[in-house]
Amino acid sequence: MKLLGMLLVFFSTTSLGYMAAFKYKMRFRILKNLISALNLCKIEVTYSKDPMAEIFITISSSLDKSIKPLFIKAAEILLENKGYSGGEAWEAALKEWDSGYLKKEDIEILRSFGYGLGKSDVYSQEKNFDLAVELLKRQLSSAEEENKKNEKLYKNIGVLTGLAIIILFL
Amino acid sequence: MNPRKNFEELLYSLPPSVREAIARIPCEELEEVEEIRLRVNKPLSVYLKSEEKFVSKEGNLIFTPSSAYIVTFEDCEKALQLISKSSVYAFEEEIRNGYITLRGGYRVGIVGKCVLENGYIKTLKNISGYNYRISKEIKGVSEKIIEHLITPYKNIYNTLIISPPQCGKTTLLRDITRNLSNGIDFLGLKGKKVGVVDERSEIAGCHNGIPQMDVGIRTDVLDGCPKAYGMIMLIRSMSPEVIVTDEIGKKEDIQAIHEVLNTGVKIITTVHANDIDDLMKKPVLKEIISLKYFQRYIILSRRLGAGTIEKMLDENFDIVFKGPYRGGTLNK
Repeated sequence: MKLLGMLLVFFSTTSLGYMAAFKYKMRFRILKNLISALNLCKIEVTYSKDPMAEIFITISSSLDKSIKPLFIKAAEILLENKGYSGGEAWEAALKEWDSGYLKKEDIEILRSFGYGLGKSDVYSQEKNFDLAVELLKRQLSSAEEENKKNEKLYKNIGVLTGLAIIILFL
Repeated sequence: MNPRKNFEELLYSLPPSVREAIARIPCEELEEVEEIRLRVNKPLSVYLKSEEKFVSKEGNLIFTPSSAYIVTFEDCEKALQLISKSSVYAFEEEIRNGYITLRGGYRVGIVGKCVLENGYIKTLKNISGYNYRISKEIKGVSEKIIEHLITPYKNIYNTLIISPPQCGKTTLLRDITRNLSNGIDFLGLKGKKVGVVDERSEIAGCHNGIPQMDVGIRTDVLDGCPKAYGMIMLIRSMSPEVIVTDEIGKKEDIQAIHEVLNTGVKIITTVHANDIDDLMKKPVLKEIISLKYFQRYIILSRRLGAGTIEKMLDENFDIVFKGPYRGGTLNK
């Protein structure tokens, strides 16, 4: 009975630690995928010049599942023809998709990117994409550092707290 | 719901508040609407039966502007986004030319502030006025006259449609195109390969390159291409038997026509003028008329409403068909 309790305690603290670490990892992963997705979008905008909704659908097939819903939702809102502009659709999709892994600054970058979305000629659109990618890249490198630093830390804290509690109870 | 095909496409590209007002217009009246006009901070208006009416928020058509819906700045901003499907970059060329073609063949004319670069229009910004033109596809307007366009050897006469603006020349041209392309059974005419150079996207009403109007099964459309280049391009690439194009008048156009006719391809085109005498006043056009390039002239007017065919002449200006005649039914 005692052994079972010890195992339970150990298991739960460890998973808590892993969950905390997972958050850092997810942010890193999402940012990385967003950067490549925006680059893909940019190529489509400058080359095929398809409408935004179609571009989102086209590229979503090659996207990681962590960010796929964002692009699909934005495209869906646009295709409903309810009178949303590109920026509004993006904003609404962003709100629904955001699951707390990203920091406030990251979301802010995405929001201001959405503001200029589809509003101007190819040249300015390119600038808009480039700016968002540039800013996201900075966030990515800080996310990478944090991930490296904290991933191990939280995992270890989890395991060690578990062990400490068990030792105390022994 | 409006029986016109793809009418929702037009509604979808109106800003939400305007869309609501327009959608509330009674069906019978909505069917007659030819133009919807949005001007920033001005009352919303529509044209129907050659008459201007204002639209109230409830969708009533009224003559006094005071109780009409006032188009806001936000409406105008939204309209551009909706017309371009939030993809202004995809319509750069169209915006530069001052109009965008929607799916369904509707055309929206725009005005705003021109941004210039090296003396050329780079783009339009602060779009302040929209003119949603509701095109009518009238099938059968050419039925009565088409037999006069065909030679005894089942070939086509080079034809020039002469018409003042707004008299239905594009509609007639489209109908001729469709008939020649599909072939005409009762005249024993097999379908011809038709190449359309649609510089202003009016004949075929292309959206993303796909014709929204019925221009026939053997028709190749070169959309948005300058006429003079387009005609030569088509001859090289698509081996057309007939080339159709709209509104000739520039020197290059005439030169291209020379070349087209030298290759033996037939041509059907239009020009803005009231009658032959009018044309003779324009030096470039006078030349091709006196050289008798065209064997048929169709002269249009509004006498019995847009699309009235006044008369048809041959190269010696002898009357082949005497109007006034107005045919066809509105395609629903």
